[in-house]
Formats: sequence, C-alpha cells, structure tokens
Amino acid sequence: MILKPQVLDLRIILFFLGKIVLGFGLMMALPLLVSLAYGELVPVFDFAIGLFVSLSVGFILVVGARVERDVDVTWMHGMVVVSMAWLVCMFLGAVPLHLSGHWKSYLDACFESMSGLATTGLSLVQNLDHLSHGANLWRHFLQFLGGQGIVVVALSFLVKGGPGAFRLYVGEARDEQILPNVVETAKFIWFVSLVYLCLGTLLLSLCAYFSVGLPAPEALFHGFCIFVAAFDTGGFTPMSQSVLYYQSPLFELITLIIMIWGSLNFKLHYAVWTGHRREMIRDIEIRTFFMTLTATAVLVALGLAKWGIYKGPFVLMRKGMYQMFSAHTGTGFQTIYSPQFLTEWDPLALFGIILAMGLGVSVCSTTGGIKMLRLGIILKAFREDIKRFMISDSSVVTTRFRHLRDLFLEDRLVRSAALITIAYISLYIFGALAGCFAGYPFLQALFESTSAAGNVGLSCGITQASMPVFLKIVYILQMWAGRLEFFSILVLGGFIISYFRGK
Amino acid sequence: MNIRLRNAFHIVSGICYEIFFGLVLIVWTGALCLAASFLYR
Repeated sequence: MILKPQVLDLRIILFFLGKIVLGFGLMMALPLLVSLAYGELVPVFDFAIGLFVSLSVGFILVVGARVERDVDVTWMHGMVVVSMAWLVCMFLGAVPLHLSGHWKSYLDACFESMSGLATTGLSLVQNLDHLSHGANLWRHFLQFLGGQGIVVVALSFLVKGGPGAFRLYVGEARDEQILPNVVETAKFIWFVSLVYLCLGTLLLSLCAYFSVGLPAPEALFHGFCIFVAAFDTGGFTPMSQSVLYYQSPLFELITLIIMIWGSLNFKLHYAVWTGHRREMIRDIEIRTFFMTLTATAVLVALGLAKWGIYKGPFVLMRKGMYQMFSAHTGTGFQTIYSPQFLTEWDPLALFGIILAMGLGVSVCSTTGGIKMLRLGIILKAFREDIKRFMISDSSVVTTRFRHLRDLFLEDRLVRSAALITIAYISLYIFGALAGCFAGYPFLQALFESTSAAGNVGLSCGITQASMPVFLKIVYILQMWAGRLEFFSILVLGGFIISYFRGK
Repeated sequence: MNIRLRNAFHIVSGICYEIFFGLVLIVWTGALCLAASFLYR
C-alpha cells in the first residue's frame, strides 16, 4: 500500500524549498550591481524585478510553511526539495533574461537558465554580442551557482548542518562528503572555487589584456566569465564565437587547464591540497580518465587526420585536442563553428567527441555524464568476472580499488554504477530519438542529445531559437535529469504518484 | 602559525601539482594527435 504524504511532509518540503529560493534570489543582487556599475539602467530594472519576484516567492514559502527547527528531514524530503528547487530556480532565473528581450520567448529564457544552472552551455540567446554586461554576467553566474550546487549555496548561508542538510546535499548528486560536517564540506567547496576563481580570473584577464588586446575593464569581465564557465564546466561565453573569438593559443591553453581543474573531484582537490599528492595517480577515476582520454583522443585524431581537413599537424592538434577536452570535461567551449562538426569532421572523430561527452569525468565535481568512477567500477567488475573463469572454483576472488581510500568491489557498488550508466545511455538515446522525430539525422540528433544530457554544451547546430518547442522541452528535461543524476527526480515522481494515489 | 604556514604551503604546492597534472594530460593528448597526423601524411 502506498502511503499518502502528510501535510507536515508538504510543509517541510516547501519550507526548505523557500530557503533555497531565498538564497538563489539574493544572488541576483550581483548582476544588478554590475549593471549599475556599467551604467546599464534597463537591466537594473530587469534584475530588480527578478530579485523582487524571487524573494517574494521564497518569503511566502518560508513563512507559509514554517516548521520547527529540529524537524526530521527524511531522504524523501531532501530528494523532493532538491529536484523541485532546480525547476523553481530555472523559472525564477529566467525572469531577468526574458525581460532583457534577447530571448524569443520565456521558454527560451528558461532553456538558457537551466542550461546555465546544469552547467551545460547550450544557448538560445539572440544577438549575444550586444547583450548587456548584467545579463551576460547572470548567464555565467548561473553556471557558478549550478556548478557549486544550488543546495551547497543554501547550505553555506541559510541552512544549519545536521542529517537534514546532508540529505539535501546528497539529493544534488553530491554523495561524497569531504569533511565530517556537511556545512564544512559546502564551505570547502566554496574555498577551492574561490581560490581558483582569483587565480584563474587573474590569468585569463592578463592574457585577454596583453595577448588578445581587450581594454582592461573588458579583459577583467571576460576573464571572470570565461573562468566561471571553464571551472564549472559550463561553456557559456560572453561572445557568440565562443573561445574562437579570442584567437589566442595561450588563452586556449589556460582554459584547457581550468577545465581540467573543474573536472576533478572536490575530494581529490582536498587530498592534494592537504599534502596527499599521490592520490592523484592512484585514484581509479583519474586512471580511468587517462584511459578514456587516450581512447577518445586517438579516435578524434585518426578521424581528423584521415579526413585531411586540417593541413598542418599542429592545426589538427590545436583544433582536435581542444574540442576533445571540452567534450570530455563537459565544458562545451568551441574553437570551431557548430556546423563545422558536420560539414568538416569525419564521422569517426564525431563518434570520439560523442563518446567523450557521454562519459564525463569525476563524481563530486562540476562535470556531467556517466563519470569515470562508475566506468572504472564496471571495468573492474568485468576483470573480476574474467578472473573467476581463470582460477579454480574453490578460490575466492576479491578486488580492491583506490578511490581516496582502499575500497572492496562489492556487488552493490557494481549494481549502482551499472544502473546509473544504463540510465544515462537511455537518456542519450531518448533525446536522439526525439531529435530524429523532429527531422534531424540520427548522428546529429545523438550529438546534441548527448551534449544536453551529459551537461556538455557542444552543439552541431540543432540548438537554436527556431528549433521545435517540444525538442527544447526535451533538452531542458535532459539537462535537469543529467545534472541531478536521476534519483532525486525519480523520488519526486514517486512523491507525486503517492500524493494522488496513496491512502 | 606554523600549522597555517604548512597549510598554505600544501595549498600552493597542490595548485602547482594540479597545473602540472593538466599540462601532462595536454602534452600526452597533443602527442597522440601529432602521431596520428604523421601516420596519415
């Protein structure tokens, strides 16, 4: 028998949802201040309206659903709050974007908002090169908030620690706790991000000023935006030509290194920053990443070399390697135009890029996709099964692997990794079929679908304002499900069903 | 104070190590791309 949720369950969910919305709304103050600093008056009003709407919604939820401080937050509450928070924040984050007039409809602004929050980077903006600094900053800041995790933001400022906080944290696909206290974990994630924010913005701004030749205030603005997009593996850029706009190999090199930083597990950052540097070469995620990086690089390089589109070997290396890293780390920066993937790239190279996009890198990082820990566990399980055939029946096989500590390969780990992997592959194929239904060829549809569900952001040309409305909605759902890694969304579905059919 | 200095040292060396790690990956994949392009020359 399915139990119907009680009023208290709804109040707990709405109360914590309200707190997250309040924290999210407050973040709109930053682009508002930036618009004021640049003397852009219309965007100031756009963000003031967005701020007012968000704070009103948050305030109504918190006051209307007020619960006791020591209320028991269950796993179900945490999961439902997180999955709903991402949808509500998408709608609220889209308000100032829609008011700017650079998006054809509110749905397009919602697409942009979800793309930013899920650190995807697919964009439906019109005339990006003339977008106000405030709105442009908000697009990038959405990636920062989504990359950190909306719940991590709320945990840092608005929610007290405890089991409830941990359940919210896990709901956001961050099942690895770095420090014993979840609020301390959230603060450490902020610490790593802010240290790299200062360093990366400085490097990119200097490069934009000296190497690209941008004026100092613009160099700083571009440096900040590109850092945020690279570290949070988002992929938005302030200009419509993506990273190609800067025409600087040094700029590309710096963004490559920042993308790699962003794709590493925050727990691994903690290990390396506390003197345990050997973890970097012992960890199963990094070892698997090295293997898949090699495999996809070979596919892309062979495909491009066979096709002969790039005349010199160094041009091939620069173009092929950049797109490949961008795909594997889930960033989505491009140094070629979107249609070139189809018109100039060999299908083998395209397959390498799709594979890289689907795999992702680390759990507890800002990347999307299947992730190397899961792939590593599945490969280890294969090896263990083969080993069983090679030895006598009476022998017992145990396999260990290193993921920041020694772990045994247990059946439940393999099962969990396999289930999530199957879910991701199904999501990629579902989006590809939706693309085929809209009239696009399968390879093109698979490319865009994998990019959306893997939270990557590379585009071969499907994502544009004129694409069918149902495909926009499919991609929004893919980005949402891909970022939250399914479970909290499935629990939300279960909650809705139990509300209507429970007794 | 010593603990703080040691922490700062670990953080700075950790960042340098992560930059080095990134460069190793970039050089490795770059070498693979170059090898492939020479293969088809």
